[in-house]
Amino acid sequence: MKSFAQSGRKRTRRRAAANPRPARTARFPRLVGMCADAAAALARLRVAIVGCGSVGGRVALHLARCGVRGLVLIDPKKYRPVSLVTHECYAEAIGQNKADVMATVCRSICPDLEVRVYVKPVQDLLLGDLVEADVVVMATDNLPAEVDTGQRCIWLGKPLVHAALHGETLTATVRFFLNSDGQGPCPACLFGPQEWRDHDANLRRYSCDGTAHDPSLKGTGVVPTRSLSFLCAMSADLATNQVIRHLLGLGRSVGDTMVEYNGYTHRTVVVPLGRNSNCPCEHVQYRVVRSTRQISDLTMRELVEMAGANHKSRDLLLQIPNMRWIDQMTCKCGAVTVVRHFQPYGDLCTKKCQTCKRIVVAGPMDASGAVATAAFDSVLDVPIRQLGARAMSQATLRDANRAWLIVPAHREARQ
Amino acid sequence: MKSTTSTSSNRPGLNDLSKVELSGAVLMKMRFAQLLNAGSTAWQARKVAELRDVLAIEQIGGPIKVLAADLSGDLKITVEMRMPVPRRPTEESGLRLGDHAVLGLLYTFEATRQPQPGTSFVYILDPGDVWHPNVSSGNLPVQVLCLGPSVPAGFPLKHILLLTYASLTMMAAQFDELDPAGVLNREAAQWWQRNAHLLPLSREPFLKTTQARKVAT
Repeated sequence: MKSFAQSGRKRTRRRAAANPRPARTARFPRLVGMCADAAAALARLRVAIVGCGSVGGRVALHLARCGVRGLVLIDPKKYRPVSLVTHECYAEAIGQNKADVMATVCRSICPDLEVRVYVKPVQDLLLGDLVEADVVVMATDNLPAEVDTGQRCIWLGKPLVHAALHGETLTATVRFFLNSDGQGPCPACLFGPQEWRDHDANLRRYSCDGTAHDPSLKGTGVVPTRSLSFLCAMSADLATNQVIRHLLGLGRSVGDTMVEYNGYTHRTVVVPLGRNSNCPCEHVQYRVVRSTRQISDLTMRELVEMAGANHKSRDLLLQIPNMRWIDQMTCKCGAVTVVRHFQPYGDLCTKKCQTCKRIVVAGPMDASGAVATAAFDSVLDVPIRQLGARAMSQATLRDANRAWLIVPAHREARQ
Repeated sequence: MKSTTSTSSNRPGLNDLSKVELSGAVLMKMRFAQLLNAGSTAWQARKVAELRDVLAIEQIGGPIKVLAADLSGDLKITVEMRMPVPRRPTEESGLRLGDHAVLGLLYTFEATRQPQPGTSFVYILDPGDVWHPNVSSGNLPVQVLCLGPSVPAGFPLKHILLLTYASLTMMAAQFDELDPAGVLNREAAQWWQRNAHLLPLSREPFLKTTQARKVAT
């Protein structure tokens, strides 16, 4: 049976044959200070865009026209009639997912563009989902999403371009967070008391049945950004300029700076950004380790050694997304049943008590999302797949001062 | 108005727990738990700080006793909390009141950086028949206490204990089954609406500081 990805690739090849990649060099300027072939350099790069609305959508179009290799488009929202006022979209798109529509348009501009689409909040992505991006562009009006994206970019060491605007003063702002060593500024470093109040008002709520909803997705509790189409475009243009300057190394470094253009005064201001020592985000960088084998085929010893960590270290913690480790369960009769198994969150883990023969169900206190690798002593050489984690796409390891993200060496682009 | 005793007036409140010096058995519990602490330096320190606060509450005579603490992965603490606990009513005796509950407290690294569901922190290990609108009923291995639709990132464990105490003694509980946040035990919510005269089960403050006793009386 053909996989979705395979059929997607075939479709892309057909499309590419019918509508070949346009020759970028025909229109590409000879950029001052750029010795190498700029078009070739761009054709190797992947960019992730968080928020594909009035600003992020335009950045995606610009980058598709520049001929980047791939885009990761992340946006949980759909176009609404009011989107026509500010977004780069037409009436036909109303009711459709923003990320899906932008992916289609970008592919029509550049048929062999690799596009990965996530129609969900950035908070629901795995850390490894952004690992292939060379730079992340953030253009969202959701403050929890901004904090989360900033945190992920620090962890992964990804440059983050934050495009924003202030409609009332005709101001377009682009902040560039370099994240070279985890010690620089992040979006949350720049938050004041008002931003944190707005952040808390937009936090996710949970019902008793466990389902989550974001106020921003429901349109409640969030004041939509008021702006004009041209100002959104201006912010997108400035952001794309910063992305291209960084990726091609044009001019002075744009790292950890903010550029602000004001439409009333026609003034542009560039200021450096600084780290806030009270920032609640974790300013630590993960070392990304790429495994040529399926991660679930590795044993715990191989996983730890691949990262260059010491499995005997008492500090070392392992975390597998959506999995919990159950070491043992205690029956009501007091007998302890050894389990030593991973279990997906939400699944019941049951065992028969060897003493009273009753069925014991693992409770939340029997399970742990983060496990000290010392707990694996007796199963160090058993493949992780046999320990219950069959479908895992990444794992994280932490010790006192270091952090590792283990991902597969090649992640296929989903078309 | 009742006058306060001299011993209670000296007791620190929740904001002064860092000034409490752990000693004796409580200090031993702290040292024993720290032997197996794993994770990043910040996460290890956070777990120690949260456990220290809980032990400090025990040290100053709060209504809890720490039975076990595990810092090896997520922070897990088992505490016995002394308070009137509503248990499923029977036809013969009506509502029964227990004098304590054994609670499992779970604090994950994610809770320090993302808001969490109110159901992800407190599990009632004993008794197994708590009769409360915000406590789950059914065939789950343990009963779950809901602290609200969302608990902010980094919410301290000492405040979770305070909320738990207020909730289980029915000083602060959500009874309205039509509320968007919902209830976990609809039958209990309706029962408590019919028996609102029994509320609250206690007026004893969580910590018997001077200020708290003044409010209670």
